[in-house]
Amino acid sequence: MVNLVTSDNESFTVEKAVASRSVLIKNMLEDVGESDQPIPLPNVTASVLKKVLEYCDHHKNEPMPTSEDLAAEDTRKRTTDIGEWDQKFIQVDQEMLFEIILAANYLDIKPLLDVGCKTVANMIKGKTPEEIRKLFNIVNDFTPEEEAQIKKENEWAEDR
Amino acid sequence: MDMRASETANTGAVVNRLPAESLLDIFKFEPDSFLGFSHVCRQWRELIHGCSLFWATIKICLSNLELDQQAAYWLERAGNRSLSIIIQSKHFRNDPEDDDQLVPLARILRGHMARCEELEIVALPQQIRRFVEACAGDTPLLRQMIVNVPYEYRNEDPLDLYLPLVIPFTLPSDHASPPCTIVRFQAWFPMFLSFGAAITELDIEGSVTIGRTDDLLHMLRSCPNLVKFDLYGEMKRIGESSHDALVVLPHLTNLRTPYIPDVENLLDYLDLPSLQCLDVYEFEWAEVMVDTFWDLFYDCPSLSDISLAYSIRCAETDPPDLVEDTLSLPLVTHFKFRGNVVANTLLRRLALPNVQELDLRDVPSDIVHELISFSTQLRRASFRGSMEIIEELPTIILPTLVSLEIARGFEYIDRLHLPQLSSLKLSGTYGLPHDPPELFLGTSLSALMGRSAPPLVTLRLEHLDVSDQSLIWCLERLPLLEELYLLNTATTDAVLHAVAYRDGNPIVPRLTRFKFYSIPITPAGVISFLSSRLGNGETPLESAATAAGGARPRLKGSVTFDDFGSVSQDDRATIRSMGNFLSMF
Repeated sequence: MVNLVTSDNESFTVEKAVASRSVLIKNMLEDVGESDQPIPLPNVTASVLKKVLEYCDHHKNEPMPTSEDLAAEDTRKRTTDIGEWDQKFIQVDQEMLFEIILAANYLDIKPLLDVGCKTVANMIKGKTPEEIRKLFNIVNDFTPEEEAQIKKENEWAEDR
Repeated sequence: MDMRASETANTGAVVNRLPAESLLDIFKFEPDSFLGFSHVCRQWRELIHGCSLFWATIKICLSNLELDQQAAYWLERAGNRSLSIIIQSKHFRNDPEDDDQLVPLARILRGHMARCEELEIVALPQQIRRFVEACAGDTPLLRQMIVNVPYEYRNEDPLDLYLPLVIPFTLPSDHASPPCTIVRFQAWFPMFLSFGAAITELDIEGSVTIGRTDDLLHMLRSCPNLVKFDLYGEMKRIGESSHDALVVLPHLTNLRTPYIPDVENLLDYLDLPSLQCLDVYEFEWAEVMVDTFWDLFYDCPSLSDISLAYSIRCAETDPPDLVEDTLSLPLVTHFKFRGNVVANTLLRRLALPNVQELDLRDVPSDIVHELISFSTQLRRASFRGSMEIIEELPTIILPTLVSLEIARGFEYIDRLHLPQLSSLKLSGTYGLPHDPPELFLGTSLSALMGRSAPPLVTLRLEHLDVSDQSLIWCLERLPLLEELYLLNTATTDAVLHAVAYRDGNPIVPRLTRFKFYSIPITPAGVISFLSSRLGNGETPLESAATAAGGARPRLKGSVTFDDFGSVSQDDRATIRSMGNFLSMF
């Protein structure tokens, strides 16, 4: 078993197979060897870690992505399809969604990071810039010169 | 480095607290929308403009203005990445101004063609010609090239399309990469300079014309490393070649040349020592074709898959003189052939000792018999069309045959002993969907059961008249049957009653799929059949399962009544309550 301590000082004791879905934790465990020392996770709160561990537990028996898988990602078009369980898992509010992405990035859990990124990609797919701004509460901060360039880019992209 | 996105007016937005690489990951899942994403806020714009991946695919809409400026803008941001260049438009105007735009565009792209991996251009013939001429040069990385003349403009200037499009791309003299480029042309055919050596797959759809034999041979000569070649004609003749020299394609394994009536004019000039798959259809069978295919089969010792099928024209009424020899093709495992008075002359002289899948149409039964007599590996056979059954043929055993389909010449099974047959499909003359069967299957089916005791898993009878008594007798001898399809047969409720679960001793206990289409059965018969097979009948499920030696299998299938309107609402509801079995078609 592995003891994980969150930024808000809460402890989680989990199976090694579950914790090792995180490459960060896996490497730490390999570095320290057999030890009862708790592993501090200063960038993850308890509520987010609970959710992340739920994901890791569900996927603990699946093969880890290989370096070849990761290398090939840049060259091929990736699908935004998400498995049925993952879809239900990621049905959370925006705040939690982005916290999960941040945690997955920090803990180096690539499949979870992908689920989070795909979910956001699906949220913005087919939306206009104005609709995306509204969705995420983003302010249009372009200068008039940038707006003029954007207008030109839009003209290039249209098939008139 | 602070991994979170840089400080801007939008730092407060939750999404912008994500690290830059996570935001880019999100954008990469929707790469076609990257430009729209870059218009959301300055932070996203900076990220996207700094990521060369998005700009390496340059999509140009021909009907827009400032094409050269757009290309330069994309190229500046693409860095040194390999490029995909796509030039197309939904709207084409035969406007000289469009050409004026294309040449400046080509001039911008010309300096970058050496790192172009994919080039797709959909444009009018004169536009394509001017564009590629202006982009002439080395293209060592080009792996895919697609050239397409819009469908509605293919008849605009057929003379232009008759002239080959010379692709002025070249390979550097020290080019060492193995050839692996795929080239597809629609409505036009190309001629290549040294770049032709990189091409392994060439796919040309004629639509208007594929040119003349000499041009086609010239084109093939410029692609010496072809592995796969598809050439779709448009039922226009290509004429005789004016030269004698053969074109050698030492690596070609797959050749498909449909819709060329006088295809022999091309095939006679090809030397294809590695050919494995040959697919030729929609051509005119003339006496000369016998020699063409005979020579091709003789000269291609690697042939394993031959298809001379589909609609093939033959104006001859008398068979040509027979060639004397028999040509054995020991590597052929798949053979598909449509016979006629000329083609059958060739087939009569072929031996296919190791053929595994045979699909013959309009071939007389004596030729079929001769062919399969020497085939020791035959696993699947389909005989369709007019078979001209010859009565005095001896019965032969096909010990490896597992699947047989005979359409129209079902009497031929009287000449076969099929001890391993697992799938049998017999059909009579095709009439209208609801026509009654015309041909009486007689004792052929039961004789086969008695002779071979085949382990049938699938039985399909269509447009055949078989008596209930005979069919039940056969089904009683098919304990492994899982699929039963009866279409336009004379079958009545008596058969449904026989295959129902009852008395703890069902016949065809493994039945899982069925189709009863336009046969004289009643809703009551179907309800009784379904009820018993699904375990809702008078026989308790347990006892039936015990009798069958296991759990009762799940049942899928469909019933189509001749007169659907006469089926009462109650009967429809009852059948539907048992599953999705009722079909109107």
